[in-house]
Amino acid sequence: MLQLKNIVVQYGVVKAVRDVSLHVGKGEIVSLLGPNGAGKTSLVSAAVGILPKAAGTVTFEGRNITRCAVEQVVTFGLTLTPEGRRVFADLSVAENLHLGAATRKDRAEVAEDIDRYLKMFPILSERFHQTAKTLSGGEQQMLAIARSLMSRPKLLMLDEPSLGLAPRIVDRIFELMIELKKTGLTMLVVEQNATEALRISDRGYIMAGGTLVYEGEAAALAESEDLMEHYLGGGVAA
Amino acid sequence: MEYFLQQVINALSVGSEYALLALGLAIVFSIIGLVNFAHGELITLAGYMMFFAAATFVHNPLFLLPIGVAGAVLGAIVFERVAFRSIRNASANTGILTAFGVSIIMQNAFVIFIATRPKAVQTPEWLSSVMTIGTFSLPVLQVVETLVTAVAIGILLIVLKRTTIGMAMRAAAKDFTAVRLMGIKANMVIQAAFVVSGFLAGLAAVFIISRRGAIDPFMGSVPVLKAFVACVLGGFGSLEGAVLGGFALGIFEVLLQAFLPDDITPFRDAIVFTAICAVLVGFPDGLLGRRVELGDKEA
Repeated sequence: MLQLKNIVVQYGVVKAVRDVSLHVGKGEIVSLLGPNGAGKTSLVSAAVGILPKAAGTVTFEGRNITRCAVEQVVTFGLTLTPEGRRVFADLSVAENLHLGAATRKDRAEVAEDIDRYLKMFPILSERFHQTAKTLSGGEQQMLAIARSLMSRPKLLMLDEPSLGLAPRIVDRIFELMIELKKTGLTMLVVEQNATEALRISDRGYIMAGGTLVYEGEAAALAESEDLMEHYLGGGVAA
Repeated sequence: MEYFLQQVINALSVGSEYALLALGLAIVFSIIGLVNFAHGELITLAGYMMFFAAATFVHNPLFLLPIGVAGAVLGAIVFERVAFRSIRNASANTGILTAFGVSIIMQNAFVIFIATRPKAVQTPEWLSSVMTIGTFSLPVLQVVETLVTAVAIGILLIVLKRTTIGMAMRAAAKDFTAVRLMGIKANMVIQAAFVVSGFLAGLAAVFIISRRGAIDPFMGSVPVLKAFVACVLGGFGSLEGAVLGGFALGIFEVLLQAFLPDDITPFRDAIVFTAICAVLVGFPDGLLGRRVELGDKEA
């Protein structure tokens, strides 16, 4: 469904991502793991077009989207929930959701979707008319995910959805991802929280120092103590 | 009493003019961080559009007013497309220099292709007349300007609150990338900001020209400076701040003019700017400016 081939992302002379290739199949949840600074965020940002790629190609559903602007990529059904949530702080929950659906013209269905996600995320329904900045971190993350879903993505990329959240909330977010998978949504999850992420994933990739160091089935990855210890447990400096 | 009321409406109308211009500067700044010093040239452009329309096919001065507004909107769109779009990701300094460049080019183009000397522009006579309410007589222009400004700000509020593009503009003021992640085109949001700023400048232009009765190539310089000062006073980038700063500046200027002893009035501007400096000592980010909440633009 999504294929990244030989992606290079460069900041000045520093290469944040060096020649990384990965793919996500329809209906899968794929984790992209690795320590802080491994280049995970740079990779997904470049994939959707908010960071320039120095080299490589991105193909989504058979279409080459390497040169597409992010605004266009969203209309193809590829949406990123960015790191740090980045909800629109001064806008209400309702307005945030409305903007998430900005590419859609079908007002009636947009209203239905809002209802659906308010049921899925009941806390947002309580906070519907409050500004997003009054929400807690976990609530903001749910809003960020719901806002992304409003564009009706076929593939959702989630960048560090568990970052800075209490364990109970993290569990809730991963449960939601399982629910979403059942609706047919494909997901690529960037995480430092490897154990949790692998629990819900089909496959996983590990990045370190800008390159892919491992790829494989999530179950195999989770059992490989060496890998987990080496790249994910000890917090290897990248 | 009548003198007092006249001065109040005078203060409100000058405040309105500054508020319209400051709001236009602020809305563009809040979204792309550009201080558009070519904003004043939109006023001049509106003036020359009215002048040419009057000289060719428009004989009723009433119709000149919407032509002036349209001229400013068009100018804003062209400035963005031709000058500002290509430097969008450059540093703030590049933006300011480009804006000065646009301003200088426009002023000199008016000088070279039209004339240095002022040209008369006719506006409807009723606009320059005096109306009588009860025992008070008030200048129509000032009353209309205040009302139109109130309505324009009201409409702007509705657009910002209720429409998708308005919400996107508010969101983009804090985090443009996140807005683009929603699939909202950056060009569209920025163009909308310029259209709004052009429209507000056009409204202000119509009143400025009605008051002066004439146009010249450099007529935009002073108003844009006042608008800039109003923005600084109110807090740069804050829309509420721009309106507050505009009205505060206008009202303060007029009240000083009206109530200072005659031999001190030449120092009016010095007093105004000293007062603003004093305010900035207390509120370094302007009255409604907020430094802490730059969001993702902090980096």
